Amino acid sequence: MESLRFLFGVILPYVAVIVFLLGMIWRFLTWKKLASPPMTLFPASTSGGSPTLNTIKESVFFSSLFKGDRLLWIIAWIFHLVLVLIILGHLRVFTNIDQLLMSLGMSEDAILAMSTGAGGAAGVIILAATVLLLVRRLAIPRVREITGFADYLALLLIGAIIITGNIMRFGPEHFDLVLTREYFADLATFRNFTDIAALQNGTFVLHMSLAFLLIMCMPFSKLLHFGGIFFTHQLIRK
Amino acid sequence: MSSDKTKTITSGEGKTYVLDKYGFLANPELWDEEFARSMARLQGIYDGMTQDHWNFIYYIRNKYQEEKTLPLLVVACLDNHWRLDKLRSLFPTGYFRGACRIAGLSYAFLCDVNIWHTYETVPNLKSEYKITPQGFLADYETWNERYAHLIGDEWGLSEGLTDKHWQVIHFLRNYYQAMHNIPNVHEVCEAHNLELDDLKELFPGGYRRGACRISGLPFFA
Amino acid sequence: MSDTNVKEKVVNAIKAIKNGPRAGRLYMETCAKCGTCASVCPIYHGKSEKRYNPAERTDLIRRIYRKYCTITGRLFGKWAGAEDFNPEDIEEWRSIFYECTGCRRCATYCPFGIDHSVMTRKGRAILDMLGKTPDTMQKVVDISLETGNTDGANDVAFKAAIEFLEEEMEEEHGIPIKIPVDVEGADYFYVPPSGDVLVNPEATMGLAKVFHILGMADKWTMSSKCFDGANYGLFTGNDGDMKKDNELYVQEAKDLKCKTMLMGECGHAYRIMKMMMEKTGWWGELPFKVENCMEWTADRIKEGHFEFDKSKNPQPVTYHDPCNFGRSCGITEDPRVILQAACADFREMYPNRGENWCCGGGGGLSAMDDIIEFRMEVSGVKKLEQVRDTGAKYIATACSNCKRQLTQLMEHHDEEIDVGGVHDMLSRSILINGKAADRKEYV
Repeated sequence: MESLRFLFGVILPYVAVIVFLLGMIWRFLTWKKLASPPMTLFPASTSGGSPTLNTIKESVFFSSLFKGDRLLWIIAWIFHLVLVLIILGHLRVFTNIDQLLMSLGMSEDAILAMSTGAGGAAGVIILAATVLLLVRRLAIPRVREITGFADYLALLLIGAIIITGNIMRFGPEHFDLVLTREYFADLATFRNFTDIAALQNGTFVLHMSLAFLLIMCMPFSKLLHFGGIFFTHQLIRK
Repeated sequence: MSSDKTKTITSGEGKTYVLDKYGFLANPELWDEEFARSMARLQGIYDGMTQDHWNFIYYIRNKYQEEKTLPLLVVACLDNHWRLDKLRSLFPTGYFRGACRIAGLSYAFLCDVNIWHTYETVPNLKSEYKITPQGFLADYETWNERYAHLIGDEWGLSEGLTDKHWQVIHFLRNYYQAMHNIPNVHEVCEAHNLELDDLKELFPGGYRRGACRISGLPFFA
Repeated sequence: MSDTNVKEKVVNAIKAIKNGPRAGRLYMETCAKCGTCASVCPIYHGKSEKRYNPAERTDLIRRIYRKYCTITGRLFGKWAGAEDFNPEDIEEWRSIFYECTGCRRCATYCPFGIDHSVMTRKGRAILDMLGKTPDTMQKVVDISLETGNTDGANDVAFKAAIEFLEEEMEEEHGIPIKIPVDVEGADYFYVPPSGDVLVNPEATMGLAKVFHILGMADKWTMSSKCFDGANYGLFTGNDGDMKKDNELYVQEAKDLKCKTMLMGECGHAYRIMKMMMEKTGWWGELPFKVENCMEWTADRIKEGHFEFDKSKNPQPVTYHDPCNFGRSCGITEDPRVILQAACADFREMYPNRGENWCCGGGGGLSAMDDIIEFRMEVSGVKKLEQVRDTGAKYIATACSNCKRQLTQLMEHHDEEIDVGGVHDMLSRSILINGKAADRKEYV
């Protein structure tokens, strides 16, 4: 039991972060160095001036998708927006961001309320969005026929992470913020790799392991579209 | 164009020619003037082939037989001292789809000689008659005998329109003119001493889609 | 060629995607399989089958790429969407890669801007390498490389045709209007698709009239060697052929010492010259610039040099944006300027410009009659709907391939709608000495 905890609680986070960082950097560098003759797509000028500006617009608002498939756009945009908010929310688990917020004038109660309110809502919304994405994938023939095992797996993995996350928020099992912060602080400073209190919580271990698995997979799966989008739009707006 | 079954065209003298799937004579060697006359009608040349038509057709035939080639549209006009407008008015469906078709060249030969032949854009055969979506003459008044002949051609009647046909057609038109109504099929049979089956044979489309349509009567009275 | 040999060649070609260009590699690694491309694809709109799904077509290559070039593919095989190449699939590839018109509409709407035409071209390049390019295509390429034009016509025939067009214009307007040929030192070197001279010559006559009215009849020229901008190397995916064909024209432009290469109404020819050859500098610094004849004419119209008798073009006219002009070169307003000036009833088709639907004959498909059923009943369906909605009786478009496809489409579906060029409409209604062309009726 203890060795498993060590594997998932200590080894996996390090490996995942290293693989993710190296993988993404390697991808970006190889993409960057490849020749890219212009293949402009018009109307180029109405899509927001410079290629960079256009890429920002595309990655923030998904503007091409907005024109192409409105329904998917709504689901996908909400999904990604909430995902970003949730990632920001998780900062509170890794660091003592409360201090910062309090120094900006928020009361402890207000922070707690924001965490429960906004965080709770986000958990529910993103779960709904994920389910909708899955339903869409299954229900629409043109999507279903190009969907492979890996595509379902990615969705299911995300779904599992969201569900375990929601269990920790809404479920009966106690989630200890202070212990978790301590744990991440230890990881970050390379000490105390045994007897970690936070890892006594099974749901937490599961949630965290799946999350790191997802992070580790990013450079090698369809999730790589997170990196690709910053490059592909540049190509056609030169 | 969409069906795979062999297309044929039958001339007034009852000779049948096999067409390729684009409606061109499948074997150019089997061409004769009879074919040209039948094909010309399908290409919007309703009033028969004139000397100008024949000269041009034989010009194409010669090029095909002696040089195994076909001049491009502009070159053909140049050789014959024709203006483009003249070509267009003599062959309403154009050089490639009209003249070459009447001259009995096969589609395969045309593509083989030069793919650009097939890029010609003019050739929409404008019908002279306004037809409703049901295929009936839109305006009863615009009917004339040529219209009846065109429908007759469409049916491929072996002897064309006979006196019996014309009797029925004129009866229907007179009836409609007077009553603004379409007579009952039995009235028509009785008036001409015909059985229902005889009528069907005369007008392959049946009473409404056959006899009434060729007479220019509307679908609904 | 043995199967192992074929396999080795194909796999190597796909492995080479790793080394660029960037687009190919990104497209191998970025798709999220969202299906948006299929919903905007003219082919998939015509028939919603898996084989017509753009993402699926690209996946034919992507699966093999994963198998040989990605860690997940090597480790997990099929589970990661990787599959080995099967030489038996080649025949299937021959049809599937010629079932994409390369219209790039998918790239316009894809959230990642993935341009599936790039992968279609890659697939065709692989087929070409194996000598498996469809015969109709290959023939055009061969003739083109041999004679410098897709007609296989020689300079004598060309010059005779030009003389004929001059006579034709003289009859139309009662005055001589010149089409200069092989004039060294002329400012403009006009490169049309050869069909616009020899088969549907009104476009060329239209441009000649424009130069005549401006008093610039001695400022332009055509070439009796290079009178066909069409370049099928773009369609077969063979870069070597494409450049070889292109080099002839660039050399001729240099020999003629022109200042501007004026491309005719041919979408892919202009795209190759402007967006590929000129932009990426295939032949280094050029002593001339590349312009399109529609741009040129439209600018002169805007300067107010011409008068028109719109009653010569009374029928409702719509404009079909050829994908290569609209989406790939951004030439969208100029043809409209010309048509609005020359026609009494100009109507837009929706959607249009960069978002226009392909005619269904792009990517060279238009020249392939062995797949005419597909072009009429699948790839052209959306265009037909669009055209019907306009109520137009004449579709003007600036591309020989579109013209052929649209003509056949209208014929096949019994629509009494004519098809023609943009300068054709100008030629019919432009006034010379206060008089429009006299077009005789011979009935």
